[in-house]
Amino acid sequence: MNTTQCSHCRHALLRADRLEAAIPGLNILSSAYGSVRDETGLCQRHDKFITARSRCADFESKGTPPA
Amino acid sequence: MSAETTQEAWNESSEDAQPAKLGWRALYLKEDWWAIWVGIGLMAIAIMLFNQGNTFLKSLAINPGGLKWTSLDQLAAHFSTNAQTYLMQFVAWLAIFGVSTRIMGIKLSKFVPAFVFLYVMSILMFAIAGWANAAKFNMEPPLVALVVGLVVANTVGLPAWMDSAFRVEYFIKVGIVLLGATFPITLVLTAGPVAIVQATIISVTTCAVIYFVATRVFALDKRLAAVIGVGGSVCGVSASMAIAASVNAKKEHLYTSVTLVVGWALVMILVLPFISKALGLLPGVAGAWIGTSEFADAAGFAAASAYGKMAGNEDAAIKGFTLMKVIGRDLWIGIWSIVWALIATVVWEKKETGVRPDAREIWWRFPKFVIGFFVASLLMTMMTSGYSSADFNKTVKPDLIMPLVSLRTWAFIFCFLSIGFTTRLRELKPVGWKTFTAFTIGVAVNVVLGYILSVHVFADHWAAL
Repeated sequence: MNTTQCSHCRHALLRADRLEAAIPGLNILSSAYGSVRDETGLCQRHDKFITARSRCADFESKGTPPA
Repeated sequence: MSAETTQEAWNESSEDAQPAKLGWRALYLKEDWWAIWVGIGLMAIAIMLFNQGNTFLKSLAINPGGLKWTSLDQLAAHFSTNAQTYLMQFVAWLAIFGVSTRIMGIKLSKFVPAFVFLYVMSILMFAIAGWANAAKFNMEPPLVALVVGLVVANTVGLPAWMDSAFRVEYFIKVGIVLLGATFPITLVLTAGPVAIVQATIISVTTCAVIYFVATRVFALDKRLAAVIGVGGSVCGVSASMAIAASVNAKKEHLYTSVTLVVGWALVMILVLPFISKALGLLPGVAGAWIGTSEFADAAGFAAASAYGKMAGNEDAAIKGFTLMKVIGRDLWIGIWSIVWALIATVVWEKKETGVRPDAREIWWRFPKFVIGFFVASLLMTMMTSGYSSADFNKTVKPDLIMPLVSLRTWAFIFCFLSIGFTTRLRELKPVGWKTFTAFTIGVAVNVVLGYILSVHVFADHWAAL
């Protein structure tokens, strides 16, 4: 398991319920619980869509307190 | 980064670290798989009871849609006589959807009260559909459910927590798997290739038009162009979200796609059935046309089902739509994910994206519920192949197929109402005129090209459904 992937980053929003809450209207004709989303999430640091497998130089482990 | 965003991110860090892939856990954490378990499970129970001569499921699949009542007394008498059956049915649906959504992570404390409301409103929709004069006023259940849902959500207003039970996609996926049980596998195999050819022409052309107009004519951000291009050509917001990750699109890009897709999808639900009626299209042809024009499965089913009822052959319209949209266009999602990831990493700057194309995306993003549709179709075809046509119509159709059709209709009504209930127009992000125009040109190309292919090029094929 690669622990520097976005799945372990505190900036990554990957949970289905939180993703739907973060994007109003997402659940109207779509769903964060569907297979098509796979592990797509939202990076709150860069405001970009990522996958749980993505990685970048700004990785911060979950549990790291905010600066 | 703002202090607020930092705090949000910190709050988010309370999530447990998770593996990059769900792996086998997807079997109980993704609604596509649950749609398969629920749909195939109901079908298996129906077959088992049918073989035992047990009519329990047949009675449990009750709905007042076929009453043709002319007075409220008749309607009241129906509910009075069948109150216990409706109660059992409610408990069954609540258990099925409550347990499955709880396992997916939705809180029962929010789901249960919202589902009670959804069920009661669904009964009301069926009751309206069962009015003897409903068809005369074009009060087709999908359209009525959608309009009632929209009015309630945008006037009275429903709290956001109720969305926990308004699972549009989950309900439509369960309905599609159940639909497979009434879809001969031979039809899937013979009509499927034509659907895929037509879907390929539509998908590539529409996506290219939107991307070209957005980037070359209006100089819009190429990531935004990719996100709305796929949203307009494949399956709406779901496809947009898949491609958003491939090209590292911004949150506002997807938000824009939500507005465009929802806006145009609603317009087309309300307009396409009436245009089809004015043109006198055969139900199968109209279903295929709607399948090439609508972006989202749920929206398209509402339009196809509504026109099918208007034309007196809902089955053919739904078959045409399903072949075109579910089997043809939805399969493009994974392919587009790879194509856009390739474009983003090879043509655009690599450092801009950080997402490498991976052929496994085709499977990872495959809409798995389609597998359930195929399995249901195959199983039911095998199960009924030993019956003569006379025996099929005398026993299999009324005692096995029709109860499954009724359960499917329930799932669809839950879905159509949920579309309305979740569409809070004030929450949709305003879209710039350039973005709107680029997308709208794509919609126009989609609708016209879809019409030509469905009504002229492949007309014989769709008319035969």
